[in-house]
Amino acid sequence: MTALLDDALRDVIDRLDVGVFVLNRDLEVLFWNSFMVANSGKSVSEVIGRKLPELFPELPERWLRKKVDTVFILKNRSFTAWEQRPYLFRFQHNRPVTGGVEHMYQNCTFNPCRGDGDEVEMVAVTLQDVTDLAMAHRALEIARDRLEQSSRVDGLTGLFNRSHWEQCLVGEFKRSKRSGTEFALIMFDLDHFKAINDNYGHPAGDEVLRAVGQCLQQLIRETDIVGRYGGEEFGVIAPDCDLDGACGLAERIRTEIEALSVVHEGLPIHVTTSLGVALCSAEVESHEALIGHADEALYRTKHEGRNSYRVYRSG
Amino acid sequence: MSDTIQLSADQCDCLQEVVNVAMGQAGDSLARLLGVFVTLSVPKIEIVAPADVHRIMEGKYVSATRQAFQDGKGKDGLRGEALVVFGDSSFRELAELLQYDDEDMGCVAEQELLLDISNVLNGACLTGIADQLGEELFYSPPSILGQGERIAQMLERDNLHWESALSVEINYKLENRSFDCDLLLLMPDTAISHLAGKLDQILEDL
Amino acid sequence: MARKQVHKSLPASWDVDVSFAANGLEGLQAIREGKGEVVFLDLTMPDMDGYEVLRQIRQEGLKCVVIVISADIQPEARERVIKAGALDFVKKPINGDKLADVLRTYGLI
Repeated sequence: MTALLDDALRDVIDRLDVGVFVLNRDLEVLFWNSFMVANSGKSVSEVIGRKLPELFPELPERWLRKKVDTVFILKNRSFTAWEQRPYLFRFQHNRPVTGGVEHMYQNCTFNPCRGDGDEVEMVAVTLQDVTDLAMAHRALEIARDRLEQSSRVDGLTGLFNRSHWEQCLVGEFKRSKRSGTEFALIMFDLDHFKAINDNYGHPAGDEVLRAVGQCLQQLIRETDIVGRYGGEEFGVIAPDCDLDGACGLAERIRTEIEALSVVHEGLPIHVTTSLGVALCSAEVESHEALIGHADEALYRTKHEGRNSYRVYRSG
Repeated sequence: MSDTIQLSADQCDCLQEVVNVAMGQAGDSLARLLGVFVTLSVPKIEIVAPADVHRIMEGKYVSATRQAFQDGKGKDGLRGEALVVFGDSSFRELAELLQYDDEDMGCVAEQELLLDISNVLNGACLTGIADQLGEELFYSPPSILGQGERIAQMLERDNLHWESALSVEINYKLENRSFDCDLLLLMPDTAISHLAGKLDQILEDL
Repeated sequence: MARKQVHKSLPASWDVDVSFAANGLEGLQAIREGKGEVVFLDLTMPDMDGYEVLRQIRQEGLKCVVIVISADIQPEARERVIKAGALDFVKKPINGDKLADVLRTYGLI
């Protein structure tokens, strides 16, 4: 009865719509089910007793060895997921017509098989085709990205709007914390902007903002992220930038805006800008704190005569 | 503290010892995985309500993973989700120990690293606890809850529902390197009651 | 709880007085007061850990036999405590038979 059941189970595993294979500690193949045969194009007799990395040179051998070793040593299941490692074997996916993806996405589980002495003797790997799941997930992401794109930009200036720009700042802040690198933040606003609106009318003010937006886009590096923070307030995130670099950028923004001549109903309008520069170093605790620092420097610029920049001083 | 289910002093003491033993096993696994000596500290145990979880690594940017576990006995059994919260530790050093290649060390490799370490800690710790309680636990693959965010943000976004959390604060120190993480076992009240019952059995046997 | 478990695991026939300490500092004080000819020492403890207790025992030349009982099952933990002067190392969760074996090996029972 047991033998019959064993045979039946072996048959089920062989025909499962999931890849199943078994390896010993030397990564030699001990079992290879039909799913693996069908997708790899390698028959059972071709693979049994041979080392997996020799059969599939594209496999990340060092990583695989470590993964399998860990299961042997710790006697604990281990996993890989498509989100981090899209595939283990570069198999074709089974949607040749409606596809749109180049390979099968896979989730794998590495299961310890213990012998009589409680030691792990083999590792049984299951490989699940999760291409459908991955594609659905992707389609969702693309749709979300499109929606986001349309809600990112400020209509008047063509710069990022506040909410998107702040998201970028949060992202840059996290990246900097992870990698231990610094970046600079410049906050600035246009001097006496209210007077422009009062003297020339709101359409003139809009004209100035539009011109400033264009000017900024031409001025910054591709990696810099510039956004309209408020009415006439702007922010520039400058990744991988030290204080000297940031001061240079601030000064360029100042001179370029000073040189702008916006003609409204035949009258030239000139604006100047006051800037605050802050560096996101290891001590800065949050992106809000960083904005606070740049604002504080900006406030000093205003008080000390405008049309200039100041650097945040801690303490 | 809130009006969530509480353990008696004896039950807490007993759980402390159970977790201590499980953490020893998890520490050993971690040491084998990384090939370094791991210094253990006394695990801090507390039952916390959802609102109190935000205090964990408060204000700090953390990364976290989640992994579900259950004993196969349904609604009233031992079940929940294990969260591993990593502090702003240096991933580079961990990656070096795990022999992740330098060029691999992007955001994705960092996630894989977090998942591998979580799986090892959860696997050893949960199995250790279950063994002592005379239970068997099944667990799902781990997944990323969030990276470089505040814990409150992650929990809000993922809309996790639980009633009580068994907070097991562990601090592993690797020799010449530091590495902090918190292990949180989030459970419904029924599971905590189940756990309390098991602890009473151990206490009776003494 | 850990202390009760150790107590319960001691051979029933062993005719000794047992004192308990809640942490390393208390334990060390008890040893100084001569309450511990045989000391069962945990490694992870609040206030003063087991390694520190071993160091103090050696430094002060306190007369006692130390058997470490710990959940720290890393092979290196065992090597370290033996080097620091412990007689033997017993893994948690504690097993009465194993403990009796150890006590017998060293002629303590």
